[in-house]
Amino acid sequence: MQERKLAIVDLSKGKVQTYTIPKSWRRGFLGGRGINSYLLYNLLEKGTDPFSPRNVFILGVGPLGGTLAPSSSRFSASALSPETGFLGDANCGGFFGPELRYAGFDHLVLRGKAKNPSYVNVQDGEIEIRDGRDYWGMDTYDVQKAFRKDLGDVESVVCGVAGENKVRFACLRTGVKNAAGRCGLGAVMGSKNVKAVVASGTDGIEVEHPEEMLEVVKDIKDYLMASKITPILGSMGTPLLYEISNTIGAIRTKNSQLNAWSDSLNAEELEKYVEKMISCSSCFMHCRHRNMFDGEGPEYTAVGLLGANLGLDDYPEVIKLNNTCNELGLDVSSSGTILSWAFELYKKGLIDKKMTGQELRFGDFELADELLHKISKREGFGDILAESSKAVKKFGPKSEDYLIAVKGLPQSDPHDVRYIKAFGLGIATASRGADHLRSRPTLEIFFRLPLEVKEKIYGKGVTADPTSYDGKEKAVYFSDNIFATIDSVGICKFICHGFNSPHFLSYEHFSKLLHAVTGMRFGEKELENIGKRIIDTERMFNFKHGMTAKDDTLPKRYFDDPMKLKVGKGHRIERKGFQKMKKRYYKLRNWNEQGRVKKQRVKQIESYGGLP
Amino acid sequence: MDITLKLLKPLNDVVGQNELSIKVENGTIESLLAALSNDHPKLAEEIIDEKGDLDYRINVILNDKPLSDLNVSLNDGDLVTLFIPISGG
Amino acid sequence: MKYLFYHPEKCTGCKQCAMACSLNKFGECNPKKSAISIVRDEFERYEYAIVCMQCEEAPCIEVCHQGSYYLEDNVIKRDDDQCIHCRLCAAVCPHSAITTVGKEIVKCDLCDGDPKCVKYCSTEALVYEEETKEQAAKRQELAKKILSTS
Repeated sequence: MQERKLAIVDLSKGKVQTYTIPKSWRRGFLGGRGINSYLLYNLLEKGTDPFSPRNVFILGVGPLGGTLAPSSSRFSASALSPETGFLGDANCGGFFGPELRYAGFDHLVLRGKAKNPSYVNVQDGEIEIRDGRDYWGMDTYDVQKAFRKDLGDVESVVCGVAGENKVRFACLRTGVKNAAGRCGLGAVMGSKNVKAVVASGTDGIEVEHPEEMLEVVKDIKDYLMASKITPILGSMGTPLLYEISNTIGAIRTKNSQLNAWSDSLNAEELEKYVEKMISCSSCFMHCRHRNMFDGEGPEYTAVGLLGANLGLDDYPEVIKLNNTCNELGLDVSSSGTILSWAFELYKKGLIDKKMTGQELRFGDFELADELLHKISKREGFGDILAESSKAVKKFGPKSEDYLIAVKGLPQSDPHDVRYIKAFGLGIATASRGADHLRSRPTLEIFFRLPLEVKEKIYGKGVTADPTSYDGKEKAVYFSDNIFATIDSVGICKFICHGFNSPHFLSYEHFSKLLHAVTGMRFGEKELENIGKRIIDTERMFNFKHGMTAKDDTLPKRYFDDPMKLKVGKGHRIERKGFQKMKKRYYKLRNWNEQGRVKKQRVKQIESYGGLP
Repeated sequence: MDITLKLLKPLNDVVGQNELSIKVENGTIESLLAALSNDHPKLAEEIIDEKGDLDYRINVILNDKPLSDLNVSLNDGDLVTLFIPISGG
Repeated sequence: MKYLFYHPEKCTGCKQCAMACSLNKFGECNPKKSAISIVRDEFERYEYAIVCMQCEEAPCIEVCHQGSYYLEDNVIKRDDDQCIHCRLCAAVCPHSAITTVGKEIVKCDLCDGDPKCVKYCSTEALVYEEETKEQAAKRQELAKKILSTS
């Protein structure tokens, strides 16, 4: 059986140590996000400052990464988040993850801090910390182009100017728009004086059962291609969702003061500006737009948060803002949320020109673009916005009432959760804060899904009505678990059950793919249990770093202000219903009343041991 | 009576229009589906299952109210929106 | 006669063709060790497949001093047992369609009439079909053009 490798790079000492990943970890956590989270729990001491050299920055690819397995392009990046102070974790496609494996490593840990601007070069099994001064100060496009010019056919994951300047929502970028976007991981990279990790390798990934893999993947491909949904996702990508959310009145608009916006941002309009649909590594779906403004995208998140949420309704402007975030290395979700928050605060008079230096308003493309640049350089008012949710300290305590964030993480999903209650519980309890890619029980949006179908997926007790709180903990529980497993095998959620069509890939498919690639047998139940173990590990990490049950909550606005438009009109989250739902969720997870992982379970998870 | 039928992508592509004006016999969803089968068989094929019911993956919004149960009465001038609630991130 | 045809406008650059090829030929997933190579650069905005065109006047057959290359049912094949890995074939190929990785030399043999790359292409950018007259003319013209300029 192929070995999997982990390297620990000590940037302060300039030393690299490599390890073979213990088989017990692979059985217990698979790889990718799972092993990353377990490593974080083990390596990070309590009380660490996210920007101190003691923080660790981890990249990890799953066992299916870089193979013929469909959509196996993903890698996970993890650290203590400077945006939240809790788990920082983000998952990303493109071509870097596979290349890191071809270069010989599955997980890479950066600790300490380099003396001078540097980059880490991973090539054919060798790791080198190299002088990166020539690359410092470049935007995410230029630096990647420079690496290709200087080093040949390499893939790199980089931080932009925003990361260098420790903007708390600076992302990691690979390619034109692939982002490990959330939780400020670009700022952690920058804080370590590292501009990039560059990978290139001529070795492939040995497959334990090649014939079997060819067969399994062919079957999966035929199965996915036969779905009615596949060609839709492949021709329009995620922006299709804008119209759907907008139709039910669930598009976050102007910092959630409103819940519906213009039809001019429907996917149909976007088609005018798309040159071609392209793919990440090994992907049948090709959901990526190559746009006519020298960039890629947008995704639904950008359409919602840089469009409706900023009061913009012109597609070219939204695409251009998206491209700006991509170049500067800013997380689109936090960018759109933080800007709209400031705009509303200004309008309400909670902040004024003395602080902002200029008039702030919704619907002003030039202003938004200018502020994004200022944020990336921490210039003027941009320096305050660069603090993300921590800007409450400057804006005053009242400002927090208008902040659409959980655990300090601005909400990623442009979907207003006041209508579909399970979505609310999802973002309230997700391990990295308000994020739809952790546990959004997407099937709740199928308003006519027969109860028996829902019960088969989520278990008995779940209710059909999306506005009901009853049994919704089960929907979140199911999604949270399967998403953790997906992130750890190394494939994209877009082709998976729970996140997309219930007929997309599930545990049985993961099991077959894992056997073909690694020769290891994982039962379906076992794979689900791995998901649960990862969620518990992340919970242990978060509680170690100061989280409590109080942090599992929602923005005040979602509790107190009913939605104003369309289907969602009059809907809000009721505190009592929410609290009860949360309690039931803790119970389902076998956490105690304070939301803490029980001692026996902690012991069990810790028994996987430290580094060999 | 006349019902306005709004179709979101990709259902609109099937008929090449975002909105259709449909004449229905009586105020039931069945009569709406019957009218569709007659006037827009291609669309009907996309959204009606083998049992003759509206596929459960099609969401229906009557004016501003989402329907879980299709046993409702339609009125002249109502707006019925149909869409597939595809997801993603 | 069936040939492999590539339509770049449909190619999304996913590399599944190359993954399948390397898996089939070497039991590993390695897009760099495949008879079909995707050259791509997202910043320069292109993705393009490079694969053997099964030339009618094939430089690889002509140049090989060991007789490794031979024509069988209009498909140019390569016998690894005869090969001394000098890589002249790769050097003269007008399409750069012979892949060399270390000692390995990889060339498309159309998988004995069942090309794996086509099977895993999801957009029909790669198809395996009977050659039409127009396609044949186009292919020959392209081959001549390249040969005359190289």
